[in-house]
Amino acid sequence: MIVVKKQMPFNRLFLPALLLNFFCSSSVLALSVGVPGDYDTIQAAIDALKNDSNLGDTVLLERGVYTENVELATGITVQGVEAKETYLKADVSTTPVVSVVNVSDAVIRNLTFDSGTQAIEVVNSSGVMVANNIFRLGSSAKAVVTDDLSSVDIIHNTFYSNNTAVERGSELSVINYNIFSNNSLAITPDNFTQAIDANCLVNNTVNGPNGTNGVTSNDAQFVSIVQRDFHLQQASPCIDAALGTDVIDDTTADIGAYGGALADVYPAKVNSVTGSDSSAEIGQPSITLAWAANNGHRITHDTTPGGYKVYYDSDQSGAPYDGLDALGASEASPIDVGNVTSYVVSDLSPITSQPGMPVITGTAPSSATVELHWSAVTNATSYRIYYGLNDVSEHQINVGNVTNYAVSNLVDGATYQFAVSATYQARYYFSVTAYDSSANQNESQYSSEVNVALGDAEESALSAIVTAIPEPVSPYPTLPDEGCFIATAAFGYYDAPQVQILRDFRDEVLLNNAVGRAFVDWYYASSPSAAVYLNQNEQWKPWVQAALFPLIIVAWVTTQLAWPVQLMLLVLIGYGLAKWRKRRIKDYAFKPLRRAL
Amino acid sequence: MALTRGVLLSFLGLCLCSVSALASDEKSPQWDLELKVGQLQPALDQWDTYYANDPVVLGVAAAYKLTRMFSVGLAVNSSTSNGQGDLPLNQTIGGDVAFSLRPVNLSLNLRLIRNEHQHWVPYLGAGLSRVYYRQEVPRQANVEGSVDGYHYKFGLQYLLDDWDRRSADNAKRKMGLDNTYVFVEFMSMSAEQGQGSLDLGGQLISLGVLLEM
Repeated sequence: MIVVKKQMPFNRLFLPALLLNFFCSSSVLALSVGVPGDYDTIQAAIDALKNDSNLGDTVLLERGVYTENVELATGITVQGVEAKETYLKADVSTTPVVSVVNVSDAVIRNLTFDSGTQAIEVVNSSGVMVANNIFRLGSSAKAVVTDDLSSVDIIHNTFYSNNTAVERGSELSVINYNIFSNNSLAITPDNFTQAIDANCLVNNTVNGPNGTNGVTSNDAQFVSIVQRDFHLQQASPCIDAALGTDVIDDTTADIGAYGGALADVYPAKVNSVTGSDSSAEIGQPSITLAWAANNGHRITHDTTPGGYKVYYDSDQSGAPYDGLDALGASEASPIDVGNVTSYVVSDLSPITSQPGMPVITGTAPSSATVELHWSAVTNATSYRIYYGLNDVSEHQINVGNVTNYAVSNLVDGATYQFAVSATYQARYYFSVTAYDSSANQNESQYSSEVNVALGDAEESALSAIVTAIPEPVSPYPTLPDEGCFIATAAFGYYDAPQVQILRDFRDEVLLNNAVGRAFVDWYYASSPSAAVYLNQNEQWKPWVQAALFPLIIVAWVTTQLAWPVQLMLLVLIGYGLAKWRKRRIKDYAFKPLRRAL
Repeated sequence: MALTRGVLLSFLGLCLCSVSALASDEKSPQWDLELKVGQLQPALDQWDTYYANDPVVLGVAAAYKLTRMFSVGLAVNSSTSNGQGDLPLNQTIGGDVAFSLRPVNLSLNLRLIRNEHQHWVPYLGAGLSRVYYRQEVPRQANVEGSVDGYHYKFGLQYLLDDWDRRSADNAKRKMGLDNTYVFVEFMSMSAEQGQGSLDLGGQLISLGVLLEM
């Protein structure tokens, strides 16, 4: 979510443009500002641009989630970089996400709307365009609503699973080349039948007026609704069914959010990338990558598919991926691997490097635990702790790339020896992109990065040995534990074994869950007075001891016995109860007979 | 300590004797509710060795007004301090200790107020305390219990209503709030464990809001 902060009063683009306008008042200079680069919020950008007299100013939204209710202004285009990755959500859900009131010549394009009760409301406005957006608001929301005075071009959008996709106030608004899929109501009202052309109507509860050249189908063949990818698969009936030309591949325009001249050109990013060391199988330092296919029709087309590019780097996470050593230094990053979903990056040359020796800077003992702190070593990729009672080689723990670690399960009161070593192992970082079959080879953004360790780990010499004694912490001040008040009173003294069993049950069972903690809180609030009464009325103590006995048994079984033994006991008790109940039923059933005899 | 206790008992006696003698004032609030935040300077002499800071105390209190000047109140305060404990074998301090104190104070309070529009109202009070404590150390059993003691306090309240009479009237009409004060208070509390070797009390300076209804 974008955090709304201060508004930037002037920005690098806006200020020079204003100065230029001042000196050349007749010029028509359209501005483009970025969010969040130039302004923190969309509304701040619109407010800054709306005083500019020029038309065609653009607020360009980087990929991300923007949570605000926007009031659009005349002459301004609000555009997302990539519809699938640019979300505009309602801050106040009962208010339209975008309000277009008394506005002319404005555009809303390449965005995804998926929250709020209404995405766009247009009132008394003209020359407004709503293009190449995805509306997926849910079964109780309306996507686009226009009033009877407004003229709006609603073109090349994808409306999926909304209550009402488009509600027009008049036929001044045009509804062309949109996909309406799985909406309760696609277009309303029924009496406005004009200015509707070439829409794909798929599985809506009520389509409304179909208009001309419409395509009806049972399946729009979206790539993946689950992954919110509304690109079309090759078999989609909505491909090449609109008028005009696709900016993506210069063919006849598709219907929907990825058709026409204003669509964003980015294929959806590649998902589920995995990597593994396959050196043993390949016989040389190699890493095998695999990923899920991007099923967009321009990527997986039977005859003209796109493909994938593998980006890699050694020892450097994130872009730019400028690895050079694949295939014996003949495959620099990125590698165009064609239309495949796995690839072996082979013949790599992982760097070897002996790391320096770490220095243990401190030990922090506590109950059964010693926390170690050590200095960071420049080229270390992980650390290894050695420890033992007589020799540090008794135990080893690989702790990853951290500079402190708590070694636990130690024996309180024993003196342990500790040492730390640093290790280095080469690590490769990968990202995969998809590109389409167009002449431009439009390319997706990077996939999520994966990294794979490769080659032998080099280990440093051990640090100097330090000793530490794990032991229970004695809190200050030293105070008596008055827990288990009633049991203490009943059994006479704090250290009675029965009281200790109940105390263990409290600490190991009750305090490990919310219900148990609530019971303990209630018990400590209410039991002291009962304990006082018990101490003053000794005659009740045997009765309380007897009442506590079953609880003590349960507490002992729960805290002292292993779970298989607990399970066996449970089965035995269940069997005994069943037998007892059966015997009682039998006795009851034969009682009249025995009486008669 | 004996002097403090003597002063405290004298004050309680004076208050109790005075209650019956006081006539009922003009129509006045019957209850008050206060919320406060403050900082406790613990009486434990080695506190600074084991805990990084003096604890911040949050408190809530309610009082029933016996007369316009005298009230009986119950206050619950809470604080948690994070620090370390002793490691005798290692001859150092370490580990993680969370030490919670929850004093419950029963007080008799005297407010020196003569009319409802008095801006500055000094007050004092005293009473009995029970301090519930809890020490938590990871991977160790908790230590819990309570210690009884006493406390006394004094402070100064400032009436806010005249700053915004309209809001004050609205609050009275809609929520039954007669007066709203802010206050600053000093409290000294003593709750000794055992033979007086450990005192879980201390001196608390707090700021708060008092709502009369």
